[in-house]
Amino acid sequence: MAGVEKRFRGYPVLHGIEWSVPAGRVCGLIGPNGAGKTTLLRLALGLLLADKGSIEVLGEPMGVENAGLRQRVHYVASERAVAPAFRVDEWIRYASLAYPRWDASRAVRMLEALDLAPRRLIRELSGGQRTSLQVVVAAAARPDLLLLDEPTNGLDVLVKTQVLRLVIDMAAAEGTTVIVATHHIEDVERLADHLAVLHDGRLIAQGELDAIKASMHRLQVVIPGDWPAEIDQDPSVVRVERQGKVALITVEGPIEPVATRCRAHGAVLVEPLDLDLTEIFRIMLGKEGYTRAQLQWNAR
Amino acid sequence: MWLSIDPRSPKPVYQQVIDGVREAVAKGLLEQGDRMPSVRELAAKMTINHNTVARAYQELEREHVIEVVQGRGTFIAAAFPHPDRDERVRAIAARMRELLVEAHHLQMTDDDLMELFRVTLNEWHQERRRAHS
Repeated sequence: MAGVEKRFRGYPVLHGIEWSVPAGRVCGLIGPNGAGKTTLLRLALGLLLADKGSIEVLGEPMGVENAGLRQRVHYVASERAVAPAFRVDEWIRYASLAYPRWDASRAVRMLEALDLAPRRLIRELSGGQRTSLQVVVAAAARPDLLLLDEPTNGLDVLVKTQVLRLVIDMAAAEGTTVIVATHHIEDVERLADHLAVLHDGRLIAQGELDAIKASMHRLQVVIPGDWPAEIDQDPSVVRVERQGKVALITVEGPIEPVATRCRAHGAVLVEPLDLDLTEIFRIMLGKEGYTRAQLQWNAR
Repeated sequence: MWLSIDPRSPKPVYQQVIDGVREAVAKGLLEQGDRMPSVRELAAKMTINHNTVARAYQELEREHVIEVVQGRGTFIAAAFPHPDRDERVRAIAARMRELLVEAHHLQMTDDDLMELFRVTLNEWHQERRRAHS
């Protein structure tokens, strides 16, 4: 996506989106509620058209006339209702007609594995079973790009693991590119190798998950005497929290220069601390002016 | 399962896979010629990203811990004479020194340290024996 903007009734929902996901990767798309995640997915799916900018999906421009392209892109949303009056096998048959690459034997195997009885009415299925059914359809349709919108919402642990496993198995077997929008950070840490962070309609970070994990560090430092203001002014220092003699310094980028500077100021303790992804997001959003109260979305 | 993964850990998942396989080999849980699960199998089983597993396997193959036999699968490789062995032994010594510093600050004597090392070594061999029984 290049320079993509989207407004709803004049209100900007997405702006200045420059985003690319390499083929064959699994990209976690995260951000607080209302950040624009679903809108971004719907643009990639061609369900919505951008007001500005261009969108390319699987190397082809996404426009109005894209029936062929849309058959290679599949969307699964836990909130989405699939035809409640259909029976499971009727829905599978219906879907099989829509996708030219339909793998019927895979659909049968997966329905069995997931204990989805073919004659059940979709309206009688639990939320988790409905999501599972959507994943079965997605896997049997063999798309090149799979978009998942909050796929694990409302699923119990067992079903959730099963759904994630199916997605991984499918991506590993077919090289499917997957984009998963979620606010469950643990799902992202399991599933994804790529990451995009959306905040208030803008992408504030994107890249390799491991690189993003490695981009932020925290130092625990004890410097006797007055606190050197020079450290707070270091451009790579994101935040300094002091409690008595102990200071916690959050550093973006290499940690060693800051550690060296602390030692030069007579630090008696300089120790790197672990930062997990949840904490890293908290810091990223904090830099964007997100307040603590609003950060409850990723509280664990 | 000889592997446990914590995706929440700050340690990258691919590094956890590498360390897990190396440890399983050192403990004798995996032996030369044992067949490894494919990238797809391991990723699905552990519910972790397949590209991450593939990256770990590449690294393990480069390190001669595993070998890929075309058309047959991935196996635990025979013990490999590492050309950089001396360097790596020196790295072990460097890590030991870090432990000595820590031990000093805990007021441990040389005897305390040696005793702790014996106990730990014993536990390690017991784990290995369990793996073989």
